[in-house]
Amino acid sequence: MDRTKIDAPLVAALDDVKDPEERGLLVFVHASGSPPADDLRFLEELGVAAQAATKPIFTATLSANGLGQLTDRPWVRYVRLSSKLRLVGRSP
Amino acid sequence: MKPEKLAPGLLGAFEDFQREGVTGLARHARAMGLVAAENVPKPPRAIVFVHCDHGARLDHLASLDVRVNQPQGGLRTAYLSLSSLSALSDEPGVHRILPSRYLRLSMDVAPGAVHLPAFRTRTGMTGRGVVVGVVDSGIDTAHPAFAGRILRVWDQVLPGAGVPEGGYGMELTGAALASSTDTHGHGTHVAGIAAGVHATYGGVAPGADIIMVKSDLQDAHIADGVRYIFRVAGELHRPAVVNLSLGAHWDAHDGTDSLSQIIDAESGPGKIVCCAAGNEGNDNLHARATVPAGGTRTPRFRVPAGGAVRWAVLNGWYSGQDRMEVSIQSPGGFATPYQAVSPGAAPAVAHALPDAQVRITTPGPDPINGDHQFLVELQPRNQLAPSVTAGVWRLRLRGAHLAAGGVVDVWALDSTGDSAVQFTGSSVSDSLKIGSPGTSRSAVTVASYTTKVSWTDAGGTPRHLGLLLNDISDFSSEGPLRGGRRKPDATAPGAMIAAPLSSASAVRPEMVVAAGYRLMAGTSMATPFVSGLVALFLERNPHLDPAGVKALLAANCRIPGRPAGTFDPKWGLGLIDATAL
Repeated sequence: MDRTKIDAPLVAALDDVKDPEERGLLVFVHASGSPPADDLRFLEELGVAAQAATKPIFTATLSANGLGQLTDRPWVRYVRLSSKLRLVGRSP
Repeated sequence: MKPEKLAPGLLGAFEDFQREGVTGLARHARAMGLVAAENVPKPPRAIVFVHCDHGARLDHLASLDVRVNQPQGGLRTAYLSLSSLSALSDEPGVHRILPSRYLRLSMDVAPGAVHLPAFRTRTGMTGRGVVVGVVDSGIDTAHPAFAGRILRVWDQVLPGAGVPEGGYGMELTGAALASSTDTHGHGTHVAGIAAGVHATYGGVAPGADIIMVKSDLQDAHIADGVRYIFRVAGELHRPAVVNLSLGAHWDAHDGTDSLSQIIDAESGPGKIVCCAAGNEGNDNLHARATVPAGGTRTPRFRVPAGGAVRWAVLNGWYSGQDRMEVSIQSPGGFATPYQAVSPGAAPAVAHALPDAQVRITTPGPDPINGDHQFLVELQPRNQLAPSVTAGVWRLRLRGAHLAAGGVVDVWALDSTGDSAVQFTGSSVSDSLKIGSPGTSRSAVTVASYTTKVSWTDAGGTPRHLGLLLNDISDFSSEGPLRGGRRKPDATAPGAMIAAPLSSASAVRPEMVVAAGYRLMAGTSMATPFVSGLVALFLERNPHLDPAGVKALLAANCRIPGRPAGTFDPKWGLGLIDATAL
């Protein structure tokens, strides 16, 4: 796990992980380039479709162990935890 | 027949009908939801509100030509023949029957406030051929406002195989659309403002087609939804505008967050995104401190009593050239040690204070914008405590190394979703309150203007809202962005707006204005007004890009009483005027 590649909310979320094999971390992956062909199968094993992985930023739901393997790839620039947003309408 | 259960107006219409037939209804039809025509064999019908026991079973009345639209609830709507009023009133669980009335309310006031009707009359545009995409709480696919115009729903919440943009949720078309519901009601209302059809409460682009992404509101899934809408619209060779009436304050407030970057990457000719500015104009959720080298600053914030705050988080950002040390002091006076930036190590440190559980995270610079972020998480002192300790807390910031001025911006978030935790004192800042995705560079970010503050609800009771009429809505969030970039872009009507009511949602009776229509307010409502307007632009020019949209808006927005082109962090460039669009 390259912890320099994960943002503060993801660092905190990792502290709460009980099962490192459970896919419970919804993240944005920022890539510095296209993943090499060998890594496309690795991404598919992580649940990332090959088409999605061609984008400079793609989303994935990862286990802590999967995240660790991903951050060790040189083409992975940064990984951020997804945030829950709110609807901004109201009934006064 | 129980005439005492009928509102006087409805009873009068019923008696006139019995006495004079359809002719006797003419004087009532203009004011009530009566559907009657002479020389037509069908009996005259009425749209009514039914006050009843919450669990009253009324479905058996269908055999008597009474169609009650909701299976449960204390206030329901029904469509019935006038001759069946007697049967409905005889039901013991029914307490009152009121006529639906045609009211003149927001969506007939709001378009006029920005001269939209004249624009549409002059151009004849309705959004035909354009896709209005909405990522929201879902849509009432059976609502007549959208009949035949919902192309697809990607319900991210239903279990299924997903779509190419994400292997989760279920894509629905045709008859299967009914499998997706909108129990919140927000998405139905928003879609109706952009593209609903109705004589009085119709949307801005009633000829546009609709794609809805019912989202769990995770911003990663919202990003997948934006990509999905643009991909499907592209396959249909249609231009598209995507409406995002949502937001939060987890990001850096500078447009470098992941969702904003994806919006920027996906936008382009014929692909436009509109975002809400947010509703925190009255909330002290942002603080700014300028920390001197070697010195400290202590922004204060208050956690309210009452047990509602299960967790609170401070999201802080400052220049990557500075280094701050971070500590927190509880209302009881207990403080954590100062925590330095610790790149590459284990920067999340938990502290068990006597009156709180605290975790502080201080990683190295974010490589996307080069800035430092820190998080301070507060939780109850133990599992038995219902909430974070109430009282005044202190965020302690110490300048360890300053090369960029020591400015720190902090946003408070909490479990209530309603900004219960607020800053106090001199660090409170009424700026930088537009969060992602309103921070996206290419998105049109929309503030709210108030066009209606008084109305009569479905029960005939006059209502009034404490907002200034014909002015910026005080709840509308202020820009600019962190770093100074201008946001919001424009202002549009957002309070009070009448638009479609999802039949699966709960609603307070005073918010219902007619059968199938309710009131809401917020930048959520202002945003689809602009999305609908963009759909009209795209009908005229399917290749219009974000810069083109913004240029059109900039030339046709103005803050009342100020020179054209003036920017204000609350108004953006001002209220849209469709006269010359």
